[in-house]
Amino acid sequence: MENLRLQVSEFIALTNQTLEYAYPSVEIEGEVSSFKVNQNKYVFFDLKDDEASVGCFMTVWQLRTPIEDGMKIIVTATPKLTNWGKFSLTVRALRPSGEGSLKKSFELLKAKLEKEGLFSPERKRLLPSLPKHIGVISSTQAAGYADFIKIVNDRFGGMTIDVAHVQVQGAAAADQIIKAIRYFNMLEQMPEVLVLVRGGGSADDLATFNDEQLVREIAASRIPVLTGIGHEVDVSLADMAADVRAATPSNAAQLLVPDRRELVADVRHRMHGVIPAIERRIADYHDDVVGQLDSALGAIDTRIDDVHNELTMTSRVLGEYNPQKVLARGYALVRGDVKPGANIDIERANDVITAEVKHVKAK
Amino acid sequence: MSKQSKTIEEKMNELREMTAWFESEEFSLTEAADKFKQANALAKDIEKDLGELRNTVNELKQSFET
Repeated sequence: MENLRLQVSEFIALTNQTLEYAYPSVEIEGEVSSFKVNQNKYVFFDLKDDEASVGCFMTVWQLRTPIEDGMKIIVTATPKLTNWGKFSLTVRALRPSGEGSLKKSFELLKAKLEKEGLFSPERKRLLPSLPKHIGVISSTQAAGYADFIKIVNDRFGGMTIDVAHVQVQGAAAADQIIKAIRYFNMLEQMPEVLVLVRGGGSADDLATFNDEQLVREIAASRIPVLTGIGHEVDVSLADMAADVRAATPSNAAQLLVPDRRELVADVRHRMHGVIPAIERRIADYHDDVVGQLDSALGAIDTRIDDVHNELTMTSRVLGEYNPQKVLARGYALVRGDVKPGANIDIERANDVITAEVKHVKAK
Repeated sequence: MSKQSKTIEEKMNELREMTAWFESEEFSLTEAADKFKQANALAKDIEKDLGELRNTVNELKQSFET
C-alpha cells in the first residue's frame, strides 16, 4: 500500500470499499443536532455525543419516525466518504432511543397525522357482526397470537381465519406488516376484517406500531382493521388509525366475535318470550270480545230507553186530545139540530143541558 | 353446520323476525301454533350449529419478509 499511487476519486472509491467491507451496517446511538430537510427530499443532521459528532444523510422516504434536535436516536447506517472528502453516515433507518425520545417522536407524529385527519372518528368503520372470513396479521409464535386464536375458537366457529405470519418487533416488522396488509387488500375475496395482534412488550418493542408508513397503511386499508396491541395502557398510533382498537389480543377476540354461549342464551330468551306473547294476545282477544258484548248490550239498553221515552211523549200528546180534558177547561159540546124552535143538548164537564134554539145568525 | 344453505346470521335474523311476528299486527291466533313450531325448530337448529361450528385456521405460505 505504501507505493500505491491513486487518483483522488480512486482513493475515495477504495476508502468506501474498505469502509463497506469493515462496516456493511452499523448501529450508532447519539443525539440529533442541526436537523434539516432540503427540497423536501433529503434529510441532513449531525449525530453527536459529549465528545464527538458525525454528519448523517438519508432520504425523506426513509425517515419513518419524526425527529428533531435534542432527541436521542439509534441509526442503522453505512459510513461513507463523499466525493468532496467529507465523512458521513448514509442512514437506512433510525429509531428513537430511550423513553423521552420515543415519547417525543410519538407526539410529533401523532400531531402530524391527527392534523391530516387519519384518526378522526368519521373515518371509523363498524366491524362485521358475525364475520365469516378474517385476516390475522401477527407472529404465530407470539403469546398474544395464541391467546387471540384460543379465545376466538372458544367463542365462535364456522369462520375461515387466514394468518399472515410477520415479525411484530424489530427493524423489519413495520415493512412486513405493511406487506401483509397490502396482500389482504389485493385479494379477490378479501377478508371482512383484518386483525393486527401482538402481546405486551417494552416501549421499544412496540415502537413498530408507531411507524408512519404502517399507520398510513392501516388508515388506507379497504378492509376494516381491528388492533389488539400490547396491554390496556399501550396506545399506539396504529391503534389510533385502526377502525377499532382493542386493549389486548384477548380483547380483540372478544370484540371480533360474539360468545356462542351468549347467542344460545339469546335464542332461548327469545323463545321463552313467545309463550307470554301468545298469552297476552289471547287475553287481548278475550278483552276485545267482552268489550264488544258490553258495547252491544249498552246499545240495546239505549234503544229501549229511546223507545220508552218516545212512547211517553206520544202518550202525553194523545192525552191532550182527550175531549174530557177540553170540557174540563170550560168548553162545551153542542149536539142536535141547530135551527130556531129545535132542542139541542149542551154537554159540559159535569152536566148536560137541554135548551131550545131561539135564533141562529151566521157570523 | 347442519344446513349449509343459511349462515348463523341469516338464521338468527329469521328467528328474530319469527318471534317479532308474535308481537306484530299480523299476529293471528289460527297461525300462531304453526309459527311457534317453526320458530322452535329454528331455535334448536341454531343451537346445534353454534355447538358444532369450528374455525379453519390457515397459516399463509406467503413470505412477508422484505
